[in-house]
Amino acid sequence: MRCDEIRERFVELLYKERGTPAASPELKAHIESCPGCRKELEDLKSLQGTLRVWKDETPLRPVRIPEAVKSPAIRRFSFFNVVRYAGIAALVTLAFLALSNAEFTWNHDGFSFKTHAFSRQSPQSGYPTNAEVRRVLKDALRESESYMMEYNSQQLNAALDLIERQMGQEMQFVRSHYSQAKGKN
Amino acid sequence: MTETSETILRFLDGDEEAFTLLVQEWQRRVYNLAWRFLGNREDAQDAVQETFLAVFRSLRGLRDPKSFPAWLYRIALNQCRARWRFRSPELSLDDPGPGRDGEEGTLPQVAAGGTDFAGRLEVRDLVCKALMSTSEDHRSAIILKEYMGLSLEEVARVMDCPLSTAKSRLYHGLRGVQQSLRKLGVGT
Repeated sequence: MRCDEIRERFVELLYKERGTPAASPELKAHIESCPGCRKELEDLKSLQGTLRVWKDETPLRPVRIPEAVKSPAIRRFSFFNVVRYAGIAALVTLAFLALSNAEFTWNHDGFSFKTHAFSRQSPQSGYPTNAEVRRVLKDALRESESYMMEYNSQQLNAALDLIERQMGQEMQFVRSHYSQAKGKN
Repeated sequence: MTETSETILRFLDGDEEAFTLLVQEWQRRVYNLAWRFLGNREDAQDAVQETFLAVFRSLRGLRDPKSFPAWLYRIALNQCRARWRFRSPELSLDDPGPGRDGEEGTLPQVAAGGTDFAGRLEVRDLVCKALMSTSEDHRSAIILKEYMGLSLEEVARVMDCPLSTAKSRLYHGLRGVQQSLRKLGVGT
Protein backbone atom coordinates (compact mmCIF):
# COMPACT_ATOMS: atom_id res chain seq x y z
CA MET A 1 0.00 0.00 0.00
CA ARG A 2 1.60 3.29 -1.09
CA CYS A 3 1.72 6.24 1.27
CA ASP A 4 0.17 8.73 -1.15
CA GLU A 5 -2.70 6.29 -1.87
CA ILE A 6 -3.76 5.95 1.74
CA ARG A 7 -3.19 9.44 3.13
CA GLU A 8 -6.57 10.66 1.93
CA ARG A 9 -8.05 7.94 4.12
CA PHE A 10 -6.44 9.38 7.24
CA VAL A 11 -9.74 11.09 7.96
CA GLU A 12 -11.18 7.64 8.70
CA LEU A 13 -8.66 7.34 11.53
CA LEU A 14 -9.00 10.95 12.64
CA TYR A 15 -12.77 10.73 12.99
CA LYS A 16 -13.94 7.41 14.33
CA GLU A 17 -17.66 7.87 13.70
CA ARG A 18 -20.41 5.61 14.89
CA GLY A 19 -22.17 3.82 12.09
CA THR A 20 -19.31 4.15 9.61
CA PRO A 21 -16.99 1.26 8.80
CA ALA A 22 -13.82 1.21 10.86
CA ALA A 23 -10.53 1.84 9.12
CA SER A 24 -9.38 -1.27 7.33
CA PRO A 25 -6.72 -3.54 8.90
CA GLU A 26 -4.39 -2.76 5.97
CA LEU A 27 -4.61 0.94 6.75
CA LYS A 28 -3.85 0.40 10.43
CA ALA A 29 -1.02 -1.97 9.61
CA HIS A 30 0.54 0.54 7.23
CA ILE A 31 0.36 3.31 9.84
CA GLU A 32 2.09 1.09 12.35
CA SER A 33 4.83 0.18 9.92
CA CYS A 34 5.42 3.56 8.23
CA PRO A 35 7.02 6.30 10.41
CA GLY A 36 6.26 9.01 7.81
CA CYS A 37 2.55 8.27 7.70
CA ARG A 38 2.42 7.84 11.49
CA LYS A 39 4.03 11.28 11.96
CA GLU A 40 1.64 12.85 9.47
CA LEU A 41 -1.37 11.38 11.26
CA GLU A 42 -0.09 12.67 14.61
CA ASP A 43 0.47 16.12 13.09
CA LEU A 44 -3.12 16.15 11.83
CA LYS A 45 -4.41 15.25 15.30
CA SER A 46 -2.36 18.08 16.74
CA LEU A 47 -3.79 20.39 14.08
CA GLN A 48 -7.30 19.52 15.24
CA GLY A 49 -6.38 20.84 18.67
CA THR A 50 -5.12 24.08 17.12
CA LEU A 51 -8.27 24.53 15.09
CA ARG A 52 -10.42 24.15 18.18
CA VAL A 53 -8.79 27.22 19.75
CA TRP A 54 -11.25 29.18 17.58
CA LYS A 55 -14.37 29.05 19.77
CA ASP A 56 -17.93 29.95 18.85
CA GLU A 57 -19.27 33.45 19.44
CA THR A 58 -22.69 35.01 19.84
CA PRO A 59 -23.90 36.83 16.71
CA LEU A 60 -23.46 40.61 16.65
CA ARG A 61 -27.21 41.20 16.21
CA PRO A 62 -30.32 39.02 16.14
CA VAL A 63 -31.72 38.16 12.74
CA ARG A 64 -34.73 40.22 11.72
CA ILE A 65 -37.30 39.23 9.09
CA PRO A 66 -38.83 42.44 7.67
CA GLU A 67 -42.63 42.77 7.73
CA ALA A 68 -42.66 43.27 3.97
CA VAL A 69 -41.29 39.75 3.56
CA LYS A 70 -43.62 38.22 6.18
CA SER A 71 -46.83 39.72 4.74
CA PRO A 72 -46.83 39.31 0.97
CA ALA A 73 -50.00 41.41 0.67
CA ILE A 74 -48.04 44.42 1.84
CA ARG A 75 -45.87 44.73 -1.20
CA ARG A 76 -44.39 47.92 -2.35
CA PHE A 77 -45.64 49.18 -5.68
CA SER A 78 -43.20 48.18 -8.38
CA PHE A 79 -43.29 50.02 -11.66
CA PHE A 80 -41.22 47.30 -13.30
CA ASN A 81 -43.85 44.69 -12.43
CA VAL A 82 -46.58 46.86 -13.94
CA VAL A 83 -44.62 47.25 -17.19
CA ARG A 84 -43.86 43.58 -17.29
CA TYR A 85 -47.44 42.43 -16.85
CA ALA A 86 -48.73 45.07 -19.29
CA GLY A 87 -46.27 43.80 -21.90
CA ILE A 88 -47.36 40.20 -21.42
CA ALA A 89 -51.04 41.22 -21.69
CA ALA A 90 -50.33 43.16 -24.90
CA LEU A 91 -48.53 40.19 -26.46
CA VAL A 92 -51.37 37.82 -25.57
CA THR A 93 -53.92 40.24 -27.05
CA LEU A 94 -51.95 40.61 -30.31
CA ALA A 95 -51.59 36.87 -30.62
CA PHE A 96 -55.34 36.40 -30.16
CA LEU A 97 -56.15 39.05 -32.76
CA ALA A 98 -53.74 37.52 -35.28
CA LEU A 99 -55.02 33.99 -34.84
CA SER A 100 -58.68 34.97 -34.96
CA ASN A 101 -58.49 36.96 -38.26
CA ALA A 102 -59.59 40.09 -36.50
CA GLU A 103 -60.79 42.98 -38.55
CA PHE A 104 -60.80 46.64 -37.50
CA THR A 105 -62.67 49.26 -39.45
CA TRP A 106 -62.61 52.94 -38.65
CA ASN A 107 -64.13 55.33 -41.09
CA HIS A 108 -66.66 58.16 -41.16
CA ASP A 109 -69.38 55.65 -40.28
CA GLY A 110 -67.65 54.75 -37.08
CA PHE A 111 -65.41 52.14 -35.58
CA SER A 112 -66.09 48.42 -35.87
CA PHE A 113 -64.26 45.32 -34.74
CA LYS A 114 -64.95 41.80 -35.97
CA THR A 115 -63.33 38.54 -35.22
CA HIS A 116 -63.85 35.32 -37.08
CA ALA A 117 -62.39 33.02 -34.49
CA PHE A 118 -65.49 30.87 -34.20
CA SER A 119 -67.02 31.44 -37.64
CA ARG A 120 -67.15 28.71 -40.28
CA GLN A 121 -68.31 30.84 -43.20
CA SER A 122 -66.11 33.24 -45.05
CA PRO A 123 -66.57 36.85 -44.08
CA GLN A 124 -68.09 39.29 -46.48
CA SER A 125 -64.80 41.11 -46.75
CA GLY A 126 -63.72 38.34 -49.18
CA TYR A 127 -61.61 35.87 -47.25
CA PRO A 128 -62.40 32.53 -48.90
CA THR A 129 -62.96 29.40 -46.90
CA ASN A 130 -61.10 26.20 -47.61
CA ALA A 131 -64.10 24.77 -49.49
CA GLU A 132 -64.32 27.77 -51.78
CA VAL A 133 -60.63 27.62 -52.56
CA ARG A 134 -60.95 23.95 -53.41
CA ARG A 135 -63.87 24.62 -55.73
CA VAL A 136 -62.02 27.37 -57.55
CA LEU A 137 -58.98 25.18 -58.04
CA LYS A 138 -61.09 22.33 -59.35
CA ASP A 139 -62.78 24.59 -61.87
CA ALA A 140 -59.46 25.96 -62.97
CA LEU A 141 -58.07 22.48 -63.48
CA ARG A 142 -61.11 21.35 -65.40
CA GLU A 143 -60.94 24.36 -67.66
CA SER A 144 -57.29 23.97 -68.27
CA GLU A 145 -57.80 20.26 -69.10
CA SER A 146 -60.46 20.95 -71.70
CA TYR A 147 -58.43 23.83 -73.03
CA MET A 148 -55.44 21.53 -73.45
CA MET A 149 -57.59 18.92 -75.20
CA GLU A 150 -58.98 21.41 -77.62
CA TYR A 151 -55.60 22.86 -78.29
CA ASN A 152 -54.18 19.39 -78.95
CA SER A 153 -56.98 18.51 -81.32
CA GLN A 154 -56.46 21.76 -83.22
CA GLN A 155 -52.79 21.02 -83.50
CA LEU A 156 -53.52 17.52 -84.79
CA ASN A 157 -55.96 18.80 -87.36
CA ALA A 158 -53.46 21.35 -88.54
CA ALA A 159 -50.82 18.67 -88.86
CA LEU A 160 -53.20 16.43 -90.85
CA ASP A 161 -54.04 19.30 -93.17
CA LEU A 162 -50.39 19.93 -93.75
CA ILE A 163 -49.71 16.29 -94.51
CA GLU A 164 -52.68 16.19 -96.88
CA ARG A 165 -51.48 19.29 -98.67
CA GLN A 166 -48.00 17.92 -99.05
CA MET A 167 -49.32 14.60 -100.34
CA GLY A 168 -51.52 16.43 -102.78
CA GLN A 169 -48.59 18.45 -104.05
CA GLU A 170 -46.50 15.32 -104.47
CA MET A 171 -49.33 13.54 -106.35
CA GLN A 172 -49.65 16.49 -108.65
CA PHE A 173 -45.91 16.48 -109.25
CA VAL A 174 -45.95 12.75 -110.00
CA ARG A 175 -48.98 13.08 -112.33
CA SER A 176 -47.40 15.92 -114.28
CA HIS A 177 -44.14 14.07 -114.76
CA TYR A 178 -46.08 10.92 -115.75
CA SER A 179 -47.99 12.85 -118.38
CA GLN A 180 -44.79 14.38 -119.78
CA ALA A 181 -43.10 11.02 -119.84
CA LYS A 182 -46.14 9.44 -121.61
CA GLY A 183 -46.23 12.24 -124.15
CA LYS A 184 -42.57 11.79 -125.07
CA ASN A 185 -42.97 8.08 -125.48
CA MET B 1 -39.39 13.82 15.80
CA THR B 2 -36.85 16.48 16.68
CA GLU B 3 -37.76 19.86 18.08
CA THR B 4 -36.68 21.52 14.83
CA SER B 5 -38.97 19.27 12.77
CA GLU B 6 -41.92 20.10 15.05
CA THR B 7 -41.18 23.82 14.77
CA ILE B 8 -41.04 23.56 10.99
CA LEU B 9 -44.34 21.71 10.85
CA ARG B 10 -45.94 24.39 13.01
CA PHE B 11 -44.60 27.04 10.65
CA LEU B 12 -45.96 25.16 7.65
CA ASP B 13 -49.35 25.05 9.37
CA GLY B 14 -49.34 28.84 9.41
CA ASP B 15 -47.72 29.71 12.74
CA GLU B 16 -45.26 32.44 11.77
CA GLU B 17 -44.04 32.75 15.34
CA ALA B 18 -42.56 29.29 14.91
CA PHE B 19 -40.07 30.77 12.48
CA THR B 20 -38.82 33.07 15.23
CA LEU B 21 -38.07 30.00 17.35
CA LEU B 22 -36.25 28.42 14.41
CA VAL B 23 -34.08 31.50 14.01
CA GLN B 24 -33.29 31.62 17.73
CA GLU B 25 -32.26 27.97 17.65
CA TRP B 26 -30.03 28.10 14.58
CA GLN B 27 -28.71 31.61 14.12
CA ARG B 28 -25.69 31.10 16.38
CA ARG B 29 -24.54 28.06 14.42
CA VAL B 30 -25.05 29.74 11.07
CA TYR B 31 -23.26 32.86 12.28
CA ASN B 32 -20.22 30.88 13.41
CA LEU B 33 -20.15 28.96 10.14
CA ALA B 34 -20.23 32.24 8.19
CA TRP B 35 -17.65 33.88 10.47
CA ARG B 36 -15.20 31.05 9.92
CA PHE B 37 -15.81 31.04 6.18
CA LEU B 38 -15.55 34.80 5.65
CA GLY B 39 -13.15 35.68 8.47
CA ASN B 40 -15.09 38.87 9.20
CA ARG B 41 -17.88 39.42 11.73
CA GLU B 42 -19.86 42.03 9.80
CA ASP B 43 -19.81 40.00 6.60
CA ALA B 44 -20.85 36.97 8.59
CA GLN B 45 -23.77 38.88 10.13
CA ASP B 46 -24.94 39.97 6.66
CA ALA B 47 -24.65 36.42 5.39
CA VAL B 48 -26.72 35.15 8.33
CA GLN B 49 -29.44 37.72 7.67
CA GLU B 50 -29.60 36.79 3.97
CA THR B 51 -29.58 33.10 4.82
CA PHE B 52 -32.63 33.31 7.04
CA LEU B 53 -34.44 35.52 4.55
CA ALA B 54 -33.87 32.85 1.92
CA VAL B 55 -34.99 30.17 4.38
CA PHE B 56 -38.20 32.09 5.18
CA ARG B 57 -39.03 32.41 1.48
CA SER B 58 -38.39 28.80 0.57
CA LEU B 59 -39.10 26.77 3.72
CA ARG B 60 -42.49 25.75 2.35
CA GLY B 61 -40.68 23.93 -0.43
CA LEU B 62 -38.70 21.72 1.98
CA ARG B 63 -40.02 18.21 1.52
CA ASP B 64 -38.50 16.55 4.57
CA PRO B 65 -38.18 18.58 7.80
CA LYS B 66 -35.50 16.16 9.00
CA SER B 67 -33.17 17.38 6.27
CA PHE B 68 -33.44 20.96 7.52
CA PRO B 69 -29.93 21.21 9.04
CA ALA B 70 -28.16 20.11 5.84
CA TRP B 71 -30.45 22.33 3.78
CA LEU B 72 -29.81 25.31 6.05
CA TYR B 73 -26.03 24.87 6.00
CA ARG B 74 -26.10 24.57 2.21
CA ILE B 75 -27.96 27.88 1.89
CA ALA B 76 -25.58 29.50 4.36
CA LEU B 77 -22.52 28.25 2.47
CA ASN B 78 -23.94 29.51 -0.81
CA GLN B 79 -24.46 32.94 0.73
CA CYS B 80 -20.91 32.89 2.06
CA ARG B 81 -19.46 31.85 -1.29
CA ALA B 82 -21.35 34.65 -3.06
CA ARG B 83 -19.96 37.18 -0.60
CA TRP B 84 -16.48 35.71 -0.75
CA ARG B 85 -16.28 36.11 -4.53
CA PHE B 86 -17.09 39.81 -4.30
CA ARG B 87 -14.36 40.49 -1.83
CA SER B 88 -11.02 42.12 -2.48
CA PRO B 89 -8.06 39.99 -3.62
CA GLU B 90 -7.07 37.00 -1.55
CA LEU B 91 -5.12 37.53 1.63
CA SER B 92 -1.47 36.77 1.47
CA LEU B 93 0.17 34.86 4.27
CA ASP B 94 2.78 37.63 4.33
CA ASP B 95 0.16 40.24 5.22
CA PRO B 96 0.39 41.50 8.81
CA GLY B 97 -3.15 40.26 9.50
CA PRO B 98 -5.33 41.04 12.53
CA GLY B 99 -3.67 41.44 15.85
CA ARG B 100 -4.04 43.27 19.12
CA ASP B 101 -3.78 46.99 18.26
CA GLY B 102 -1.48 46.16 15.36
CA GLU B 103 1.42 45.03 17.50
CA GLU B 104 3.44 42.03 16.59
CA GLY B 105 3.77 39.46 19.28
CA THR B 106 5.72 36.28 19.52
CA LEU B 107 3.98 33.48 17.80
CA PRO B 108 3.07 30.89 20.37
CA GLN B 109 3.46 27.20 19.96
CA VAL B 110 0.18 25.52 20.58
CA ALA B 111 0.53 22.77 23.08
CA ALA B 112 -2.05 20.54 24.58
CA GLY B 113 -3.71 22.45 27.39
CA GLY B 114 -3.62 25.66 25.35
CA THR B 115 -2.03 29.04 25.90
CA ASP B 116 -3.26 32.05 27.84
CA PHE B 117 -6.20 34.10 26.61
CA ALA B 118 -4.08 36.58 24.65
CA GLY B 119 -2.15 33.76 23.11
CA ARG B 120 -5.34 31.99 22.15
CA LEU B 121 -6.58 35.15 20.43
CA GLU B 122 -3.40 35.30 18.39
CA VAL B 123 -3.62 31.65 17.47
CA ARG B 124 -7.25 32.15 16.52
CA ASP B 125 -6.30 34.99 14.20
CA LEU B 126 -3.60 32.86 12.62
CA VAL B 127 -5.98 29.95 12.21
CA CYS B 128 -8.39 32.38 10.56
CA LYS B 129 -5.68 33.51 8.15
CA ALA B 130 -4.70 29.95 7.39
CA LEU B 131 -8.33 28.99 6.70
CA MET B 132 -8.80 32.02 4.42
CA SER B 133 -5.84 30.85 2.35
CA THR B 134 -7.52 27.54 1.47
CA SER B 135 -9.96 26.99 -1.35
CA GLU B 136 -13.71 27.39 -0.75
CA ASP B 137 -14.36 23.66 -0.96
CA HIS B 138 -11.56 22.74 1.47
CA ARG B 139 -12.62 25.45 3.89
CA SER B 140 -16.27 24.34 3.73
CA ALA B 141 -15.32 20.75 4.50
CA ILE B 142 -13.16 21.75 7.50
CA ILE B 143 -15.78 24.10 8.94
CA LEU B 144 -18.61 21.58 8.57
CA LYS B 145 -16.60 18.73 10.12
CA GLU B 146 -14.43 20.42 12.74
CA TYR B 147 -16.69 23.27 13.85
CA MET B 148 -20.25 22.27 13.01
CA GLY B 149 -19.65 18.69 14.15
CA LEU B 150 -21.32 17.04 11.18
CA SER B 151 -20.54 13.45 10.27
CA LEU B 152 -18.60 12.76 7.09
CA GLU B 153 -21.81 11.63 5.39
CA GLU B 154 -23.58 14.81 6.41
CA VAL B 155 -20.66 16.87 5.12
CA ALA B 156 -20.98 15.07 1.77
CA ARG B 157 -24.73 15.73 1.74
CA VAL B 158 -24.36 19.45 2.48
CA MET B 159 -21.63 19.83 -0.14
CA ASP B 160 -23.61 17.70 -2.59
CA CYS B 161 -20.69 15.43 -3.43
CA PRO B 162 -19.78 11.76 -2.96
CA LEU B 163 -18.44 10.65 0.42
CA SER B 164 -14.97 9.98 -1.03
CA THR B 165 -14.84 13.52 -2.41
CA ALA B 166 -15.82 14.95 0.97
CA LYS B 167 -13.03 12.93 2.65
CA SER B 168 -10.54 14.08 0.05
CA ARG B 169 -11.50 17.74 0.45
CA LEU B 170 -11.27 17.45 4.22
CA TYR B 171 -7.86 15.82 4.10
CA HIS B 172 -6.39 18.27 1.59
CA GLY B 173 -7.97 21.18 3.44
CA LEU B 174 -6.36 20.09 6.72
CA ARG B 175 -3.01 19.65 4.98
CA GLY B 176 -3.30 23.10 3.45
CA VAL B 177 -4.14 24.74 6.79
CA GLN B 178 -1.28 22.88 8.43
CA GLN B 179 1.23 24.14 5.87
CA SER B 180 -0.10 27.71 6.17
CA LEU B 181 0.16 27.62 9.95
CA ARG B 182 3.73 26.37 9.72
CA LYS B 183 4.58 29.29 7.42
CA LEU B 184 3.02 31.60 9.99
CA GLY B 185 5.14 30.05 12.67
CA VAL B 186 2.50 28.03 14.49
CA GLY B 187 3.87 24.62 15.18
CA THR B 188 1.34 21.79 14.87
